[in-house]
Amino acid sequence: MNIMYLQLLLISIVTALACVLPGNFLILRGASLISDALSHAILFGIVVTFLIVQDIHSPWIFLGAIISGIATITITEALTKSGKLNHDAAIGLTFPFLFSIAVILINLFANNVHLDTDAILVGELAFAPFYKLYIFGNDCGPVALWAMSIILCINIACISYFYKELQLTIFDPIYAQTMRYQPRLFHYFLMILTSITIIQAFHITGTILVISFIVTPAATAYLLTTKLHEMIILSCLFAIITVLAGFLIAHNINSSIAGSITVANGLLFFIIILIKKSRLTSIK
Amino acid sequence: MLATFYKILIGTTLVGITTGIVGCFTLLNKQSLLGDTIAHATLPGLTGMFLIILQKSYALLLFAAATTGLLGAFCVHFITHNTKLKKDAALGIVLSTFFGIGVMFLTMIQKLPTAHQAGIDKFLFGQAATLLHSDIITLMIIAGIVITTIIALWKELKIISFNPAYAQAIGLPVAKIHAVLTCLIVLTVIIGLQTVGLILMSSFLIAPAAAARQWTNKLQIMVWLSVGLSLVATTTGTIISCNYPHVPTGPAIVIIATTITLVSIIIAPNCFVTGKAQQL
Repeated sequence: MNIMYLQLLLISIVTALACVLPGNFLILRGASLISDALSHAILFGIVVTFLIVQDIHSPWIFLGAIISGIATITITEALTKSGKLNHDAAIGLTFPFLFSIAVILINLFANNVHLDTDAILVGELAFAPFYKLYIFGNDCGPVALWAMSIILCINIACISYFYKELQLTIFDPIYAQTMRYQPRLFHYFLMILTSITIIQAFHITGTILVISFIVTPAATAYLLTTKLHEMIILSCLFAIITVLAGFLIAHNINSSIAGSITVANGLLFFIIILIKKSRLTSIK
Repeated sequence: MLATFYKILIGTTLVGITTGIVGCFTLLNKQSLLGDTIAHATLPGLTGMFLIILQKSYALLLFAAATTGLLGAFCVHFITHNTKLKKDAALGIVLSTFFGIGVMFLTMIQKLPTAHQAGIDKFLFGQAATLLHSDIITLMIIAGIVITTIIALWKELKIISFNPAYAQAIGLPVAKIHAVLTCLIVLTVIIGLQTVGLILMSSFLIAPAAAARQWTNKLQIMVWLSVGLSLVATTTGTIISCNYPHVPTGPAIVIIATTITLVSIIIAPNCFVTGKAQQL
């Protein structure tokens, strides 16, 4: 097991943990598919910003992606609030629109660049260790690891600091409003956290598999407990387990790492459901 | 060149008609994103079947795609009805997990020495230009099945979409008809797979129906309008895509269709849709 393999593993674990933290709250809010919408919309932000600054590693791209994430949420909310479209339809209308514009822009203007549609959809985790961070000429390890670790820390910090507010606005929004905590504000806060996480994670996992990182371990944890802090801890544990399992699978059948982790997530979920069902029938 | 254009046009027209019709019912039954999940769930069927037979036998690939799509829909139903998870989480789990399986198969295919594997990933974004004559016949048959089923079950679908409680009270097999609707969604997605790809299928099922809904509250008018608007979008998109080679067909159609929908939402009179605005 060489150092590059370990770095890949570490990046994956950090990514999975960073994704699963907001994922818990998204599931409780019933907004899991927003992560689908966000990941497609973020591509739009990345492409448009790239076409303006013409540099794939520019920091403006991060800003552009966040703005497009917020814009998607705002448009979706506006469509839903108008009463003319229900929430699901609003989501399903907005993100393909933005994604289509992004795809056409890529085809027209950025055909020979790094934004390859295959990589976007499935990520290029295997290449992550090759982009290293050089501070004063010293190799400090992969950029992806640093970037994702920062995001993990941001997520942990934000969720810890606002834990009570998040808990309140999700489980009892009307009471929260009477206590002058605006659920809307925390909804947007959660979306921004998710957007930041997806922007960095999607280099590693691709557009669609990031949904698995966000939703599935948290959903598995949700099946097993009714306490929020237990759910968060369990989901982190499951995320680590499935990353390890995914690596084993990918190594043995020589396949996509992000795909294998996703499948491991699904398998764990399925196993937990089976265990629960067998417990229920045996109680009779 | 012209023959290719007509081939693509037939393909996208079939997609437009079927998604226009089926989309109305998914919108009314609040199952809009089920189409997206089913579309993503077809990937493991396509790639898995290709791994087994190692050639692009269109009928077999589509059959496998339909099977995994249906399996995905079944998983969503199972999760929603047997666990405390809600529909959004079920859709997210099934969508990503099935797609992940498909991606694993895809990377395995890409490592194969055969040269035939080029083209499997065209199902992601569609490439109608590669349709064969026999493929078009297959798609027409599938579209025919969808349309016939809708006509045959029109009254039942109408009652169930607007008042499921009443439908159950008068003894209609609501669950079975929902299952039939799910099968129709799967068939519709299958038609769209090679022409416009699976990533954007959700828009096809939502945009024309949503646009039509703004202009009427009568089901029959809504369906005709939805098909009409859908065909406007597909035809214009196809023409643009064929004249500008760098513009892929699927995205072009989606942009036009969504624009039509957004315009409809803004300028249509308020009397047809009086939904309650959702509060946070």
